[in-house]
Amino acid sequence: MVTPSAYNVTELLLAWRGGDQGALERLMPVVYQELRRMAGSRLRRERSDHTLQPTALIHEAYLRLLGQDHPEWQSRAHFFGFAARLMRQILVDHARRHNVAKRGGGRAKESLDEAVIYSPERAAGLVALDEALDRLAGFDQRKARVVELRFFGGLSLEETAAALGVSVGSVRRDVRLAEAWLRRELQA
Amino acid sequence: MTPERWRQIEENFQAAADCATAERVAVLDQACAADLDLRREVESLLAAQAGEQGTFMAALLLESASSLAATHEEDLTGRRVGAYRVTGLIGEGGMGAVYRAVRDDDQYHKEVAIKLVKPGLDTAFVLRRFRYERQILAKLEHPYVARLLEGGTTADGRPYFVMEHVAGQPITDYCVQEQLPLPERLKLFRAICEAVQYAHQNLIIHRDLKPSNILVTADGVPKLLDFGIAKLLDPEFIPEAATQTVTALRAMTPDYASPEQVRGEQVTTATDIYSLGVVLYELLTGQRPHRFENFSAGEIERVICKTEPRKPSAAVEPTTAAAAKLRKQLAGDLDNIVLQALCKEPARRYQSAEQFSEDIRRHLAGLPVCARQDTLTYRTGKFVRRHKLGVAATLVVILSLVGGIVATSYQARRAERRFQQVRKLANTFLFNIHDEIQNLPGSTKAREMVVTTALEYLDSLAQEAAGDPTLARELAVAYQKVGDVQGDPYAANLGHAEAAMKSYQKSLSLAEQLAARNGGNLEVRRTLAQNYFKLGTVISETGNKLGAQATMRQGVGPAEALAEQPGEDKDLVLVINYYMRIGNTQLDTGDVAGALGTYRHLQLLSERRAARYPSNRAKMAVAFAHSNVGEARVALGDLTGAIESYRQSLVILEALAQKEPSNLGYRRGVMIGYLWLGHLSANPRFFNLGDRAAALGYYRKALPIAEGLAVTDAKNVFPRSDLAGAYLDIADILTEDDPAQAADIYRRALAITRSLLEAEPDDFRFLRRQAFCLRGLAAPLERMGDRQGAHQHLRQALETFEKLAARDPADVKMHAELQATLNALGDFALRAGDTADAQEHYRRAVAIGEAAVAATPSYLYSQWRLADSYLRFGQLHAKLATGSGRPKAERAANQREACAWHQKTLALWDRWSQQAVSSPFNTSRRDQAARALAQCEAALTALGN
Repeated sequence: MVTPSAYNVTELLLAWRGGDQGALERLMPVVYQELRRMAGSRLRRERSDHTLQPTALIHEAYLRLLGQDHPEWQSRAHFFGFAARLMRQILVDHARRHNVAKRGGGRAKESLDEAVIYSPERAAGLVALDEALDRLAGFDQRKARVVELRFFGGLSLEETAAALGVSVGSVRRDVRLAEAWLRRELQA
Repeated sequence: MTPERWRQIEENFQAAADCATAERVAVLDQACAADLDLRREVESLLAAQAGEQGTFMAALLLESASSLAATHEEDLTGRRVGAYRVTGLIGEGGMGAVYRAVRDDDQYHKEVAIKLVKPGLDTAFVLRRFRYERQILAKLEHPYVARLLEGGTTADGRPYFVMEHVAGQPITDYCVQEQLPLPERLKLFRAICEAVQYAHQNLIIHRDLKPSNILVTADGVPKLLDFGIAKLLDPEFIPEAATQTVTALRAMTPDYASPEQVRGEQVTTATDIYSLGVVLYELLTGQRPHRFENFSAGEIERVICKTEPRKPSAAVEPTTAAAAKLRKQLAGDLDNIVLQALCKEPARRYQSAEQFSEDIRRHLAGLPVCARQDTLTYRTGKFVRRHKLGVAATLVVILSLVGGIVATSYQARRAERRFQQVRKLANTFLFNIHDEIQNLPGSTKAREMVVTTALEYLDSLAQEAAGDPTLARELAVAYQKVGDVQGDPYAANLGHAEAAMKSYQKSLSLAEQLAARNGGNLEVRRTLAQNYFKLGTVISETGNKLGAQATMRQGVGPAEALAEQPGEDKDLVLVINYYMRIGNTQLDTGDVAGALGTYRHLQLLSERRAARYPSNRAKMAVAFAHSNVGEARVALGDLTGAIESYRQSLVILEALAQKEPSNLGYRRGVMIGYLWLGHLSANPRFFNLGDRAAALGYYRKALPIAEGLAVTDAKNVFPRSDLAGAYLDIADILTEDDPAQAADIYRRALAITRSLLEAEPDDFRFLRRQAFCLRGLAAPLERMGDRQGAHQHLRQALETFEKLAARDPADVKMHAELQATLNALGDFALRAGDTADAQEHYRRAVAIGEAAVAATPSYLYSQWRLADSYLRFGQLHAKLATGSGRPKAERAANQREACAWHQKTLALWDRWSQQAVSSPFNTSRRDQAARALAQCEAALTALGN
């Protein structure tokens, strides 16, 4: 496993904050791969309950990639927001590949185990959610962001509020409506 | 959606959502009075809001996250796996990923495929099984089977398999692309059947046949991939796999899975036949036989196990002229052939891939196919199965019981049901046991698994054995081996004596029936001769010595007859062993002179054998013969002679143990030799010379060996039993000088013995040892002041000896121990001042002793203990006579009584010197009795009588 040095990650994050979109592109695969690897290994270790705690994972990724000795790194929430987007991408990519498999794609995707764990309507669900979230962002970007931070990033209401610079009450109301809206979209 | 509209919706939604449900209608009535669309929008959002906040999202995420864990595979392209460099990803599946790779050091850069097992499977288990399976898979050399080249683990511990890389495409794609005409497809399919048949003959089931595992190269050559791999990774074979992981791990394609696979039942060659049927269906129709509404486990099971597939011809819609023609071609024979392979019930499918292929050939040649004659085929199949039982039993014996041998092509393939059972056993044996059993230490637990499985179906086979001599003979051998594992006392075994006896008896009755029919058959005679011996040995170990001797005497004749034929060491060995066990039972039942004679004969035979067939084992047998002679000499009172015999034995055994330190038998022999030298030096449970320092020296040589042996095979009961025995012996000696340590060591012996008894509560040896420990422990306890504990232990010892003595009235040894324990209880009461209680115990001891001496006059232990009881009575009365202040006449009467007891004592010791060999042990005791008698007579004289 290629473990990028903390220095690089910090530098890339700083560059990205400074407006360098290229830094984000270089940073993405590093964090993406780390998160994905951790998500996989965590679940394998705890196969019995199949729980995934995105918050814990992102915390862990943060520590691994940046180390504990970065008190000056104030935008922890920033990193979390970033990681939340990556988590979303990881999970949705995965679901999307599965949908392809279910439609009779590549030969290596035929196993029953996956079929049982992962029934088609649910796979469709997560991809549909992703698409719906994009639609939501089209007319209410903040709500889409709240959902991303809250669920894919596993941030608490308070953390979400802090990351977006709004009140906790607003976040709660945002979640309420966004969830209802998404649910209705997915039921349709 | 415009931002304005959305803002409107949100405003109303939030307002309504803040209210209690009952108030919402009113709120909406007011807010959206003019805008029905808005109202509908808000209401539907409110309706979608049901449930706790966040649960809907969490559920969605959890599904995806779990799935991610199940399939995540990091791309290894560019990295090294073993000696290979990964050049690309071929595919990713349930079991792991498949990569293309080349050998780094290979100048030709021949491509291979590497299957990397997904992390999370029990790596150690997969590897262990792989190491074994590899031997089988490596033998699969067939032009249509992709070779398995090697396997190993990556640096991070994941197993991988290296396979021949096949550049081809799935057979279904190939047929479509090449637009192969129907007869060509059938011929191609027959080639696949040939490969499957070949694998089945090698006892390998594919388990996961599907088009993606059947590639066709550009030259049109089919290649089957992944033979045997599915099983390596199938949790069915991973004993620890809990049910929750089964679904997650099972790598199976629902479309090609058979009903038995879906139900998680036994997989057989018929399973592959089914999958071949699905593949053929697809090759013929372009469709799969089953359609699934979804991929839930319930739906898959419903469809595969309960739904009959459409006929292939019916699956083809006659929309074009070509399709209509195909439909006609399929109707009839090909429909029948495919459906025969797709039968839900494995037994009703084709019996073999060869038969499947043959039917296709017949169809191509225009001959009638078997698939039409459904019932007849079925009946014929059954007939065939019955007559293949013998073959199945052969497999049982070779595969399961000899161990380590991999049977290859037996024509058991048609005996589906039996084959299945044999296969099950073979699997259990090979995969669960093989690695452990290669080196005997530590193998006992593993062997238990075989026995359980083996017995289960041996019993079912035995019912059908009548009338089939081959099967009967093989079963006789099989039962014998099962008995060995259960309870052969001279090998690592499970300690299930009762079960072992049953197995040996089953073997014997089969062998006797055969011998009655065909007396001249060497193997039958050998089985018979061995079985009497084994049965006798186990009977002996349960405590029934006379029964054991009778069984042994039945077998020694046939054994000697065998040994008279030239050339076979093992036959002579059997005779030697017979004499050894017969001698043992003679000794155990008090026929000491008989035993010494038997043992001397044994020594002679052993030496003759060692000269004729020189080997370490033969030398060991000579050593054992010496110690047997030693034991008989002990029983005859010949202590110095016995010590000489044991020393001779030790010289041989120590040399052997030095030469071959890993041989546990030699080490155990050395240990027993030292123990005996210790016993004879000073152990109070034996005739001894009273030299405690010497005894301790010998025991301290024995103890580390016992401890080492117990550690070497912690699951085997006998080394642990031996260790408990060594503790007991050493504690017996320490009692006198260091009661605290002695008590501690007795307790250790007791703890081991108790744990042994938990598994086998009626075991004679364990119970006897427990009684010795309890009796022994009483002495140091009393010395340390725990009188109550001491008394309790003695009572428990007494109860146990009573129970053991009652098992076999002829067992003089146990009766002598009963005497000794009663004497000890009497002594205890006497020290406590309870003369009446003491007398009661001595009286019982005398009664038992006198009966024993009368029944078995040669058994010196009974005499010794009886003489002890007499002596106690004499001393007791002599003590009473000393009581001052009592009338002289009473005291004189006491003294006379004392004299009478001492005279009896003296008479017994005199008898010893007449009938047996004298040593300081008996002469000193005779002198003691003589002195006591003289004192009493003197006292009597002093009293004026």
